[in-house]
Amino acid sequence: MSRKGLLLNLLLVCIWLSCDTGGNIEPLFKEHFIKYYGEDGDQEGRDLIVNPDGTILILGSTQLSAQRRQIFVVKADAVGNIIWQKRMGASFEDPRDIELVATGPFAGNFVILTNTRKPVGDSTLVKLIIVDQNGNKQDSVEYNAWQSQYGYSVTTTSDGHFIITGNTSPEAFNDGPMAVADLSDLLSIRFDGNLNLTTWPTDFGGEGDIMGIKYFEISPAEHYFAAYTDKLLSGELNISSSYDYNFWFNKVKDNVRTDFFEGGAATAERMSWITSSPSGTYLAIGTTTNTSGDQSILLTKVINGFTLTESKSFSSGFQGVHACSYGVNRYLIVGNQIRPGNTRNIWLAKVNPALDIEFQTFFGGESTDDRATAVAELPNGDILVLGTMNLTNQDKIALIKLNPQGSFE
Amino acid sequence: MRSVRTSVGGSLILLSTILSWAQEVTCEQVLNQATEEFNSGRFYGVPGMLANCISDGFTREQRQRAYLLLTQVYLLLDDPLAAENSYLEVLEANPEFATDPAVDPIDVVYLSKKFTASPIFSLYARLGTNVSINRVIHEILPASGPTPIGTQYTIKPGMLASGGIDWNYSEHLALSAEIGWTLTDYKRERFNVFGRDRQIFFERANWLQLPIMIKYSFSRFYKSQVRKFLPQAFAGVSFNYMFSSTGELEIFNNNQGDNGLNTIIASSPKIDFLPYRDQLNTTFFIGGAVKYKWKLDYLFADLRYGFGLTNLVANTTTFTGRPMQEFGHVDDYFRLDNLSVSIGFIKPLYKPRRLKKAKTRTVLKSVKKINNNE
Repeated sequence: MSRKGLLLNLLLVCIWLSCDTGGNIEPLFKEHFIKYYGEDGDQEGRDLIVNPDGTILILGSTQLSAQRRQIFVVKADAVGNIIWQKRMGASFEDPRDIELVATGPFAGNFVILTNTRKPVGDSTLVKLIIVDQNGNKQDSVEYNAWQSQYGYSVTTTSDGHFIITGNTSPEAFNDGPMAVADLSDLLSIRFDGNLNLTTWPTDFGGEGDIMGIKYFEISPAEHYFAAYTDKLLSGELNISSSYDYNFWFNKVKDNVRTDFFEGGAATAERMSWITSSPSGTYLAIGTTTNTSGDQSILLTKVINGFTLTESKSFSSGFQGVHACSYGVNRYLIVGNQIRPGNTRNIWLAKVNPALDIEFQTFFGGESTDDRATAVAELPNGDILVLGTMNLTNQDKIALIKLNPQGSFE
Repeated sequence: MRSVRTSVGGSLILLSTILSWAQEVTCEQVLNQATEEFNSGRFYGVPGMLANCISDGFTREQRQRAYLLLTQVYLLLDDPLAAENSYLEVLEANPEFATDPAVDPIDVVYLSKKFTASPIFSLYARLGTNVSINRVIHEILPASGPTPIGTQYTIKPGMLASGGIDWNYSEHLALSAEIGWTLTDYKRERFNVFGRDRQIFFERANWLQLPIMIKYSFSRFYKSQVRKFLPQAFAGVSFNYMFSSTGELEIFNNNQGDNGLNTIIASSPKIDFLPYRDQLNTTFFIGGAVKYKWKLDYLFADLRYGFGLTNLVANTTTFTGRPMQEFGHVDDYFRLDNLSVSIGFIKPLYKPRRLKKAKTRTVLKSVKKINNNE
């Protein structure tokens, strides 16, 4: 080869080596990302679970018209690609919670809790649907003992039972948090592994407006309920104010019920979620609203035995939505930042044991309404956030996967 | 009074024209007389005869002839230094003058081979249009669904303007550097988003470009005798800096309803895309040009294709900000190729000078060839 030819070839090799190709550009987008899921109409994210194999089950709701709402379930792989997506259930069936079934005849499947609008007023009935990992319905059961009942969460117990927590409204027909004048009880119903209703306290709480959030099983003789209610500490109802809501922690041990409240006297505290950590502590997250209508996040940390250890309120302009434990004694929390024009952005933060923020980050458009739904930690420390993002002219389910520092890099 | 002024003015203009014509004729006559003197073998008087017209009066063409005559005179008078200076003046008068062995005396031809007026530097400017071709490195989709999302990039015309300088290493080879502005434009469509939706994205970017290239100029088109059009080939690397980029989105939200397909259209405002771009980019390009000789300068048409070498997307920003979080837009990782066509003007900076090494080897061959033909 001549000297000129050699130089030319060297030059071409240098150019080729300096060229960015699929082989030498790191596909950062595969590790951490935002993925949207949906179809015709608007879709909202409701909850997610991560399977032991790393696949992700996303529970959503699809709305095709003002009144028609259906279950929308997506199974995605670890990088967010859809394995399958399905619309399920009847029209007017609004999904609320999804859990993996660990034991019992349906072990390995997942259970979906829904609230189906009844023909009368805006009352609802509660439904559990067992679905296998391929999206095929295995079984279902309805609970319709009251004029209206609303399921907020489903918990699978160590013996393979399902406990639904929510509220009942024998005198009114609301399907969500009640006004003070609308009396309701904490709903707690139990189904065995074959979805047969078992003997269990179905409702309690006395007068007042109550929303049961979550049930925790500690042992056969001990369990906890977390809720929020407008009951006063004395147990009496103050119907003259709508700012008496407080977090309500119920402990039942050896059939003895003890409880305590957390919240201000002139502010309304509504719990959105409570999560447990491996260290035996629980973190409740919700929104506190003052008389001016300003909202802020309230975090309440409860140790095993359901006694209060710490409570912290964050600056105004935020709504608390969901939390999960992260590593040892740390928590991930998601909420909504309220922006001018009453639109919202998704807010994610990590808090330390003293409930101080270690990092925070935001997601969403400048003028669109984006809402957080759930947060989860992956085994490698990555973070999953589920939410609903408004893409200018439609709502879509958003799955956000971040590194442990809360960024995409 | 007015008519008197007019007639005086007219007379002055006429007089001036006549004087100018008379002087021109005079210098032409002087040149002819000098040539006759030379042909008669009276060499010593020629420089003196031409002196006045050389200092003021000859046209550029006459100066060329005059100095060529003087070159011959000084060669015959055995004054090589003066002959060389005279020949340099010939090249000053006409930088593209070349002796012809069939016409010019052999000693002048030999002398001419010691000199050149070829430009060391040439300045040029060009103006044109371009299209950008996206080369996808990694496709990144904003959504996932049972219906695969389709992506289509469409070229759109842009503009360019640049100026450059050639350093002419030899008659054929030059090293060139340019500085230029380029406006690139393209359109991207995504289909089947969320099953039925369509997203359209337009991006328009302004670039500052610094190409460096090697040019090879051919003496003529292959086997052609026409030297008016000269082809040129070049290749080089361009360092590009994106200094502005705006993107716009249109989202067609299609929903199948009971009464057929219902479409809701939303548009974004112009969004600054610089934060999502790697502003420094490199391109390897090849191209060709055709130069057209226009007096002592050139007009040219240039066609070049640039292969984008580096990813244009700042890959840490793929999912951040308004494009993704407000409009569901996500960039693929991509390189940007560019095809441009331009026309321009070259101003060679001719510099008559003595060569370090005379090119006399070809003279004898030319003379032999002429003799053989005769």
